[in-house]
Amino acid sequence: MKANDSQYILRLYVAGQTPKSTLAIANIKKICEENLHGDYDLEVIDLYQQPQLAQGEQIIAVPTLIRELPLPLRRIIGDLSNTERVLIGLDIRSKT
Amino acid sequence: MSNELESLREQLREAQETLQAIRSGDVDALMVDGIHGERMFTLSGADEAYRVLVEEMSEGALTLTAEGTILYANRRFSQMLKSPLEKVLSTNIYTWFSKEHQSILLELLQKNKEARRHKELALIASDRSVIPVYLSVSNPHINKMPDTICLVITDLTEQKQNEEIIASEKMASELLKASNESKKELLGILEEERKAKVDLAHANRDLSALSEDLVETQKRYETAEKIGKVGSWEYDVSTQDFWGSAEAKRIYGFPAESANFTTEIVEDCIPEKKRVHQALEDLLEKGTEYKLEFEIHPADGTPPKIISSIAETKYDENNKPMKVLGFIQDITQRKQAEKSLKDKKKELETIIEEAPNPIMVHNEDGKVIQVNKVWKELTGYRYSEINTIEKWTTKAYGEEMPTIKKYIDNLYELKHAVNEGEYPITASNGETIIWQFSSAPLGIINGKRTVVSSAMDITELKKKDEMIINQSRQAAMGDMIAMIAHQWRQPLTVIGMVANNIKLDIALEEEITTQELEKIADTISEQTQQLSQTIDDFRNFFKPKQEKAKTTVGNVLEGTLKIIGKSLENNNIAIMIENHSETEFLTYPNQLLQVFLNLLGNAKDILLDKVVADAKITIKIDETQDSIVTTICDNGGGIPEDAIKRLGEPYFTTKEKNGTGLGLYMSVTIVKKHLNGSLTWENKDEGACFIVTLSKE
Repeated sequence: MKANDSQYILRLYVAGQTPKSTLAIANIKKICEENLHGDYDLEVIDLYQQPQLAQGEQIIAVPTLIRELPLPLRRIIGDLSNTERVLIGLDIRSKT
Repeated sequence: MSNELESLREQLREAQETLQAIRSGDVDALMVDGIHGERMFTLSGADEAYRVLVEEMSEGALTLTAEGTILYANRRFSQMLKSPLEKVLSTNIYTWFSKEHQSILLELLQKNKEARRHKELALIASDRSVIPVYLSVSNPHINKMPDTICLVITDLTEQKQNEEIIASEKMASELLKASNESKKELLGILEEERKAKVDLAHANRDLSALSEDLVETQKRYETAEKIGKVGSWEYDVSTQDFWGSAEAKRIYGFPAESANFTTEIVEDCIPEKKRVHQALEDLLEKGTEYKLEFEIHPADGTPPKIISSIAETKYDENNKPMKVLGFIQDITQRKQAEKSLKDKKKELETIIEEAPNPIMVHNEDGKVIQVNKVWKELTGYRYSEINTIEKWTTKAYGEEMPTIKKYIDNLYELKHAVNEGEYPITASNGETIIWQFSSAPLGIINGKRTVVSSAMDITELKKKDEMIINQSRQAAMGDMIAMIAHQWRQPLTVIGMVANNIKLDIALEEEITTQELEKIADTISEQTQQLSQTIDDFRNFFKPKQEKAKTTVGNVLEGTLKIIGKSLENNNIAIMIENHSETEFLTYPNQLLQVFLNLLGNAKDILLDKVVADAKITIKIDETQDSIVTTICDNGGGIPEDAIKRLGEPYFTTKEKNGTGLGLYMSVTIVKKHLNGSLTWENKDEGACFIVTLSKE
């Protein structure tokens, strides 16, 4: 448990109302609610409507979830439907 | 070095993961950093058109999870909330609604209801402002996302504002309508017409301001057209396009939304289409004023209407006719009201014209508006001879004209009908006719106080009255002569006797001494004085000039008995007087005397007719608080029952001989009209009683 007392800052980049993107939003919201109990800040960025927001974030594929905090930065690509993988990727498994 | 290695390893892991995700179809877009900045390439292209539609639509579009998490929101929705999109996505939809609306939304988002649900709610934007919205909810079937909710949100702010404007305008129009209805029908029509004119002027003004606020002006304009029944039309000279407002179409009997409203079908509704068309041509070609009234037969088969139409030409900068702007107004109601007014007026004029009594309508300007047939026939004057009050009064009243004219001038102040009494009028042939006038105010006609005066020709009636009076006077004279004869008999007998004595003395050659002659002369003188007194008494009674004087009933009765007493005495009729009144009062003594004379004369006649043995007349004078009551009773057996009601009518008599039927009629008239009292009769004990009641005042 690395960031037990620090807040998770997550940023999910999506591509409008595409199936994977909407699925990704639903999945991450569910995962956060169940595992972080409100101790998080999730920002969903629709690159379809605001592509300039991808600038400097090295986004290649969408959806991409980035864990801004706690460091180090972590990226997870895809619709986040594999909860296990997401929890490992974000290193929040031990929070449950 | 080991850090760098770690970073590189991480990057490699990410790259592999990205690649893996792309390969396994876990991503649906790729970002490429090109010369135009970041660009997105979506991997599934077929649905792009739909996506653009959703992204760009003017309604807010969202997809939600069953719990309300916003999976997707378009830009319009974030604009409604005044919050950047990234602050909207993934939030819970319920947080954007007030507490009371959250429960409604919860119900709305429940599945297993109708396929689509709608509701009007209010969003709370990030700046806490309230935005009225219309929510449409559906549950589309999306692969792998079975519980997705689709939400379309329409911003109602503008619509609500429009509704408020419409509601306030509607309220204003309702108020206008309500106030109109409270007025009388005719006033209502005139008022509507006036409003229509005002609204027409407003409409014209609004037209020029059209560019500034087209929508609002249009609304007001339409309201004005509807109220004033005014429609407008436009004819484009170059394109020959014809346009008509909703009210114009309605007037011509077409639905307001009808697109088929052309010059041809409009002209088909006009029976006088040639004249109307010519007027339009004249306007365009010669600039002749276009102002017409014509009949139309509406296309929907409703009854014909009368419309008033005006139009003017608009010219371009080269002074070439560009278009014709016209207004039409449905004036059917006004025309009908005018016709009905005209008919009513004509009817009234006919009634006046054909009335059996003379009628004159005149106003405060001294103008005689109408004199009817009878008036002209009876006076013999033509209308042109008496068309002013001045002319009429000069002709009819001669010297009395200034007084009468002054009196007529006061009539215009009248508030109700008045009887004006009798006036002698000089007709055109110089004869005098007597009219009894009455007048009544007719109110304001053409801005002038107007009065109707009607008359009743009582010339014949007056002649008849005069005749009756004459007859009764002649009858009275006959009675008088009989009474004078009675009065004179005694003194004449005395004088005759004295003369005979002198003659006897001369025949017997007896000497007549101076003393004896003086005594004889005194007797003759005394008797002639009595004769003279009798004449004075009768002359007083016949005095033409009758004045009011203070007297008592007793005094008048004494005077009466001086005239008739001897006649009663000679006929053995006893007079019994019981006087309980000494009050002096103001009256016409001679007229009262005439009444008493008539009543005593009647009593005498009946007593003589019936040959009553102990004939007597009882006269009793009593007083009440306000009046003096004289009761004259005889013992002649009373008035027959069938005659008691008719007694007092002119020419009705119960006397067997020498009855004219005028004496009692005259007595009743005198007591009632001149002495302000009453004369009644009844049967009592042995005969009839006549009761004269006079006021002490």
